[in-house]
Order: sequence, then C-alpha cells, then structure tokens
Amino acid sequence: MFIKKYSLILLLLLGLGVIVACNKKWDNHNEISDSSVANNLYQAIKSTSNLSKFSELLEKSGYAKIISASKSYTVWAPSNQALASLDPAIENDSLQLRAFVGNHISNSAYVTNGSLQRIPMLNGKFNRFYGLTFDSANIVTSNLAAANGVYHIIDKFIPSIGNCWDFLNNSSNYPLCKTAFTSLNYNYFDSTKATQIATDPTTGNPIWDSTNAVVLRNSFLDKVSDISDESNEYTLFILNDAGFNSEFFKLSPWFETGNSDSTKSLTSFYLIKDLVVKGSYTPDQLPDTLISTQGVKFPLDKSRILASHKTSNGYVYVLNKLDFNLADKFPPIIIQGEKPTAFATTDRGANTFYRVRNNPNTGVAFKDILMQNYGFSNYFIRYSVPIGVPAMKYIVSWVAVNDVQTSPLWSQRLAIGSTQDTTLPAQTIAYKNYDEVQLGEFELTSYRNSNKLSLYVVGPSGSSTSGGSNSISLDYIKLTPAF
Amino acid sequence: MKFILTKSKNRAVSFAIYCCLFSVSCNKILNKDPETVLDSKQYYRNIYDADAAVLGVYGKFMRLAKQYVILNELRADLMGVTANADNDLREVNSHSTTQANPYSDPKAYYSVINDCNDVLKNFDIMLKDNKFKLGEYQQRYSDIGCIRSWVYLQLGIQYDSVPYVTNALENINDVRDASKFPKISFNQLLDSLISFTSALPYKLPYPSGTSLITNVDGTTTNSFFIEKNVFLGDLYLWKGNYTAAATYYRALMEGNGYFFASGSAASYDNFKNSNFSSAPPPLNISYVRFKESDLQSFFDNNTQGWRSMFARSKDAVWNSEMYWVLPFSSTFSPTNPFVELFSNVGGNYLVKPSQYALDIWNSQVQTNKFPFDARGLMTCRIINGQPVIVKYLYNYLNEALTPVNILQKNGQWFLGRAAAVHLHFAEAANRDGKSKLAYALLNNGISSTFDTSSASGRDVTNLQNTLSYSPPYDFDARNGEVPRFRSPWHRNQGIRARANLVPTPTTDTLNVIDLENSIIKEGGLELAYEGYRWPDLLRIALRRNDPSFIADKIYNKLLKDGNPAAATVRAKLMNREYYLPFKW
Repeated sequence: MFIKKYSLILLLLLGLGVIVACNKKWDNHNEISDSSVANNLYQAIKSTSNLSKFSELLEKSGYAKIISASKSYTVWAPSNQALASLDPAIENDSLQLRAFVGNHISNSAYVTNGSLQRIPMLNGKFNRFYGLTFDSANIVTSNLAAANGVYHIIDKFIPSIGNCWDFLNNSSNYPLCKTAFTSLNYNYFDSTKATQIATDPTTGNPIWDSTNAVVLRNSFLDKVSDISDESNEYTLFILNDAGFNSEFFKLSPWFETGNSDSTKSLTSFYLIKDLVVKGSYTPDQLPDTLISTQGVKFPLDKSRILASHKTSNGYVYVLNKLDFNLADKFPPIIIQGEKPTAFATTDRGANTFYRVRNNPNTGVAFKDILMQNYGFSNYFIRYSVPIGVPAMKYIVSWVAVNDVQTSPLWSQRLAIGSTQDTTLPAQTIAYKNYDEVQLGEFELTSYRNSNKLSLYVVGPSGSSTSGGSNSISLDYIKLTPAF
Repeated sequence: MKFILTKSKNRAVSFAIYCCLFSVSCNKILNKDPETVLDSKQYYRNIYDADAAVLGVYGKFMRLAKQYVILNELRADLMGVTANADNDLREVNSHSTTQANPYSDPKAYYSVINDCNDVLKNFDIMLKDNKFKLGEYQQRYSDIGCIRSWVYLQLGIQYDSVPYVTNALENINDVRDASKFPKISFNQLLDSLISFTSALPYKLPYPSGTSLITNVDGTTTNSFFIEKNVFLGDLYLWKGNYTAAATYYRALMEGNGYFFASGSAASYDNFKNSNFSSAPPPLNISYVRFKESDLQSFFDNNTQGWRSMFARSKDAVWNSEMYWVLPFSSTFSPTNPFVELFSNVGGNYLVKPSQYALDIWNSQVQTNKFPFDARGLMTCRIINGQPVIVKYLYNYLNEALTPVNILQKNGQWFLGRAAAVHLHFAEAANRDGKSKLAYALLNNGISSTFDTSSASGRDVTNLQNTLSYSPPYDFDARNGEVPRFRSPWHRNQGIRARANLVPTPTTDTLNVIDLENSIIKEGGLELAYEGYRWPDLLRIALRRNDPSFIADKIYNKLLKDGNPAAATVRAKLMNREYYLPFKW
C-alpha cells in the first residue's frame, strides 16, 4: 500500500515539475528585452541629456505627471539648444508655460510617416506633422519609444499662438474692419453652464443662477465661418480703414433702408461675409482668384497685401484694397416653384401637383408645380424671397413648363409685392417650352429683409374646373441684378 | 486494488491503469441517459414528431439567409460594399474569395442537406413501421426532398460541380472525400435534381387542416414551405426545357389547390399580378386618384402600394403576391441577419445599393413622366445621408425610418413571390416562341396586349385571350359586357404596369434577345436584393454562351463604385470563371 501511494505521489510531483518548468519558459517568452520601453515618457525624456531643459519645463508646467500616466502620448521635445532662445517671460508665467508645453504633446502615439496630418495637441491647438517636420521645426531624432508612447526630438520650439479670430480681436490697426466683425457679438445664455437654483412654481420653468452662464458669441462665427475653430484651417483677409471705406461706399447704395444704422450694419456684413476662404494659404501659395466660404469669387491683387500673419489655424492677410466684382458679389436670386409660401385659398390641394420632369433638351430632371382646373379667377401662388434682397434693378425671368396641353394655352403673370402690381406683363405659356422666358425689369428702391418681399404668380381670369384654361405652372423665378 | 499492488513496481503500468480507472468511471457517468434531451430512439414515433422534424429542417434552412442574399446579390451588379464592410465581403464583391472566406464555405448548405437526408431516411422507416399514413408521408417527404433539391440548385449555381449526396452521413466532413462522393457537373446535377424532384409524389402546398398548417410563435405557417411547382419550373428553366418550365410555373399562376375556391375573388387575384379591379390597386405604384402627377400624393407606406408587400400583415392582398416567406423575430432563433447587413441604425451597414443599380432605376420613366422608377425609391432610401437597402427593413423601421425598437430586429426572408414567377414564365415563353405573351406579362398585361381597340361595349369574344395557343400558354383575360366575360385572367396587369412604368419598346416582340434583355433588366428593378440577380445573369450567360452578358454588368458596377479591381474582375468573368472555389 505504502509503495503504491509513494508511486502516485511521485507521479503527481513529476507532473508538477513539468508544469513549473514550463512556467519559467512562458515567463521568458514575452519578457521585455528593449530596456528603453521600460521607462515612461517622462522618465525617458529626463534621462536624455539633450532634453534636460524640456524635462525641467515638463516638471514645472505639471505635464510631467500627465505623460507618466498609462494612456499613450506623443511628445515633440525641443532640444536644449532650441530652448536656449525661449523668452523667460513664458517660463515664468504658469498659464503661458502650460500652453507652451502643451503645444508639444498630443494624445495617442504618432510615428513619422509620409502623409500630412493635423494633430490635436493637449493645449487645444492643432499642429501639422508631415514626414520629418513638425509645424516649422525639423525632427532631429524620430520615433523614440517609451512605455506609454513615442517622442521625437525637434530643433525648434513651436510657440502657442492665437487663431485667426484671436488675431482679429487683438489687432488695433484696422478699427473699421474689426468693428464690422465685433459688432456682431452678442451675449448668449448657456444653460449647460448655469446652476439651477429653483423652479418657478407657476410655470415649472427652471430659475438659473446666471453667473458664468452668459457667454459671448458672435453671429459671424455662427452663420458664416467659425474662424475660431482650431480643428479647421482658414485664410482671413482684413481691410485697413482706407480699403474698407472704399469697398463700403461702393456697396452701401444697395442696402438703402431709410435708416443709416441698419444700412451700415447690412453693408458691413455683406462686405465681410466674403473675407474668409477655407484652407490655409501661405503667401507663396496665394492664387489670383479665390472663392469665399459663401461661394463668392473675388480677385486678389497681391501688391495690395500690407502684412501677413500666421495663426494657429491658418493665415491672416491685411489688404489696402479688395475689389469685389459686382456680378459675383450679387449673384442672381432664384425662387423655386415647388416651394410656395402660400396660395390664394388653402382648399385647392386637389388641383395642385408637385411634379418631377425630365428636361428633354438638357436631360436633367427638375421639380415644378402645376395647378389645373382649380376654378378660381386670378388665383395666385405667393412666394416669399427667402433671403435679403438688395435695392437695385432686376431683370426678371422664369421657367414655366406646359407639357400638358396644346390648347387652350393659358396665360399667367408675375406680380411684385402685391397681387395688383402690373409692372410685368402677362405671358402665354407656350407648349413644351423648357427655356427661361424674360418677363421684364423692376426696380427695388429699398433693401428688403429675408421673407419681406413677396412675388405672386397670378393665374388667368375666369373660373373653370375643366378644360385646362385655369392653370398655373412654375419651375423657378430668377431675379438677375442689373447694375 | 490488489491488482495494482502486485504491479506497483512498474510505475508506467500503474499510471496507465490509474488513468483508465478514472476515464472508465467518467464514461459511466456520461452514459447515463439525459433527462431533458431526446435520444434518436425517441424521435419519429408519430406524425407530430415528423412535423417537428420538418419545422426543424426549416429552422436550420433559415440560417442560410445571409449567405444566400450575399452570394446572389453582392456577386451580381446591384449591391456594393460600404466602408464598414469586412475583407470577406469585399472579396465576394470583387470575385476574389479565398478559402477562408465564410461566405464561400459550402458547409452550411451541406449541413441542411444532411439534415434533409436524415429526415427522409427516417420518414421511410416510419412509413415501413406504419407510424404515419401514406398521404401524410408523401406530403412531408416531398416537402423535405424539395428543400434538399433547392439547396443543391444553389450549390450548383455557386460552385458548378459539387458532390451529390442523398444518404444521411454521420460526419458531414465526409462530403469532402472525393473517393466516396465524386463531384458531378452542374448539368448532371440538374438532371439528377429534375429526376428526383419531378418524381416527388406530392407537389401542392400542405392542405388546410394539416397538422403543419398552424401557428408557430405567432405566425401562421402556410407560407413557410417551399413551392414545389415553381421550383420545378426553375429547374427546367435552368435546363432549357421551356415548355416544362412554363407548365410548372402555370400551376401556381392558376392556383388550383392553393387555398382558394374556384370563382372566389382570390381566384382572380392570387398569383395573377392582379389590379384587384380597384383604384388604387393595392400593390401598385400609384398616386391619389386625379393627382397622378403629384409627387406628394404617392402611396408610400406599409399598408398601401407596392412597398406594402414587404411590410403588411398576411391579409388577402399579401396572399395574392407572396407564397414563400420565412419570418425572423426577436423572440426566436435564428436572429435576423438583414438588420446587421443593411441597416445603418442598429445594424452594421455592411452592404448598400450600387451606383449602377441606382442609375438603372433613375433611367426609367413612369406613365406620369416622372423620370425614375418608384420601386427604386422604396427598395433603397437615403437614411442619415447614406443609401440604405430597406426592402428587408420595413418590419424593423417605422414610417419615419427609425427603428421601432433597436433590440427587436423583426424581419422576413422573401423567398418566393408572384412577380418572380411571372418574369420567369415570360422568360420561358419568350424562348418558346411566345414573345408577345411574354411581352404582355412584362408590360401591360394580357388583356390589353391581345386587344385591338378600346371601344366601349364591343364584343371581346375573340380578343383579350391567347386561347389559340397550346397549353401552358393559353390565357383567357376577357372582360366584356355583351356577351359578358369575367375570365380568370381579366385582372392581370403587367409587371411594368403595376410599377406605373411606360412599356418597353414594342420592337422587343420581334427579337427574342431584346425581349430577354428587357425581362432580365426588369427582374433587377422589381426583385433587387431578393436573391434572384446572380442566378438570372448566370443562366442567361450560360444559355447564350456569352460571358460578356454577366462580365459587363459587374464591370460597370465596380467601375461606378470606384473599385480598382473592375478590369481584373471583367477579365476573370470573360474567362468564364463564374464559380466559387468548392472548399471548406
């Protein structure tokens, strides 16, 4: 019995021995052999002799702790020689120092490669990383590994600078242009930043403590281009006072409202809305003609550039003249037939057809509206012009397609501002005419805000519910400015 | 113990015995009969066990849904991959599947076949042991036999030559053993399938009152089962025996024995592509009456119009079109694979309509001159800015095209509907010298195509019919007052008329190839993403011995979707490399 037990124990021990032996090998197979990876980024940078200055700054700014954490980071570390020229004022101001050091660190590990990337940095800015360049610095030693990321040694530090919007706000030499932008500032109550202190007992609405919750916003940034957005790149053109005035007075007659303040704000806005171009153009990349974020083409005379400034999200150029081409600045206004605002009566839905058709001449599909046999004399469809309409003379044309009947051919007219207006004569709608038909001209003496100018397409007189003599058709109306 | 003691000096032996002791005792534990699982001795005792076996096969069969749709659509011209698609789908899309690709693995197909073989074997034993009646046996045997043939036809379409195994295997991997099961060519396979399937003793649906026609998990089972006549029509169409194909298709189109009484309303509507004598016809692309030119008056909902056949409950209108549909529900397995494939809300959005497909829909003109095919709008929609195949998602999305409940992935697998039968019948008739009849079924229906005037009150005795043709092409679609006719086919409308489209050129009737092209194109417009496309293209390419028929379409799809492999794939298909590698 004893021998048997002994043999069993022996067997078990033998088995154990095998497992233990295996275990050791298992440990070895994935042991770290590259000692550099044993250190975290901060330890690695600290132990690099050429980066002693930067590691001091990391310590001082508090970033040393962050890049010792277990997330992964990339550090573009300026060498000691590069940092010799750093302004001591930055080093001594904790806020500035934090922004400066943060401008050299990003989340995630980025190794050098051939594609251009804009990397989000820990200070909220974006820097370009392309091949062996980091923004304007060269990478001297690349792709050094540490336990929680990568670091590169660069030959120049990259200061943290303001964006296009910051530049404009901090500028003082171009007050007219600056005011045109800043006059669009407004206060906005941001309920996500406010603390609710009570609830209104009658309405149930929250009552807020508005401290800290009122933020400054700007309607140019909201509606035109957000040039304060770090993640996108823009080129901004600023006019000096002389240049601003010459363009301002060129445009202002078309924004006549009878009130000089509103004329001024409308003209200013119409002028500055096309001063932003998407993308960052360096001075030698600037073309002769640009297209603004609002789709307006404008010529650029490079001899008019007074100064250029690089910002964190693009470039700012100061010009003493920017001569908009009027035909580009005031493109034709098009009002689509299938988007009516109102009808003479609301009960003719059964006679109203929103159609899709192929234009046989161009092969392109279009949508239009057709009303037939609605039995209502001088029936009309009203269209509010959805955008502001400058005060000027317009050539009016429309496309109204009759592909339904050769006889009778009905006539319809376009009335401006009121159904009684007869500035433009009635037109007979020819069979299968898919082209624009010119209706005549009208002059608008004062600027109309969006949805303040109504156009009426008025059908024929007489009321009939059959035979097609009571018809209205419209693809679109086009108002072309005549200067 | 004594035994061990005496041998104790020999450690090796003692160890071996020690192990044996353990394993033997284990074995004994495992040998105890389980209490919650049935043993094979306990199956197949009566008709209810037989019914359970039938439903079990269909449950297994439903797992083929994803592979079926992907192989038959993504390899063809109407479906493309999204940026989310994995490498396996990309390989299928560009005809470059490797051995490891799960979509080209035939094992799932053989798994269903093996289940069928096992069930058939046991049905024979049951019959021998008098465990169910001859009639009951014939119905169930034919059903499962037909399913097996259906799976084999799919294998032939995808792999060309495959092993034809008809006895139950203990180990499914034996199929790979070429010495036991030699591969036979697609053509030989078709012969074997035709001889087996056409000899099945029962070809109609299970009659009402049968124990299989019941409710399973809240759904009636009458449209669960394969349509044997239509499947035989398919086999003969592949084989090129057009009269036989049309004869079998006609059996469903006439509908004798298909749940409705002769002379009832359903006898005029079911499987006849009917206009229901109502305005608007319930399955048509249609607009509010007298507002036919108004885009906003277009019927686009789950209860009215063409789209509703993919969403509505199983009412009389549904029954007139759908004959083989399997439901996916959140309450039972298998889960719906289509939400994952198609939906960009709650799914992975792996495949999408190809630009080529969208362009074909947009090249059609409706009778109200709208320059697009409205079926395209209801097959694919823009959801959150992305083109999404929604044909399978109408039970998952609500009217606003957002999921009713993201966790309830209900849906259906549309395996058979009347429109496909009409188009395949037309394909056969066209090849069988009856091009005008084929043109009628494709375009404006029999009645108006075989008519010479539209004068009211005229005698239609010699009009509106094809009774001078020999069966199966003799249709009576007369609809007259003096003398009065309301013939069985008087409500028939063409596939394009139902979609509100203008007819294809009348010159189609003069040229078999032109009309065949129009029929196949229509199949794409009407049946897109239901698994018909690749088989349709392949069948025609084989029939005409013209690889460009298939190669050019796939080339154009890949080209328009910006796939750099377009030219390579075209060259491959031109070299008649249509098939997947048979490997698992």
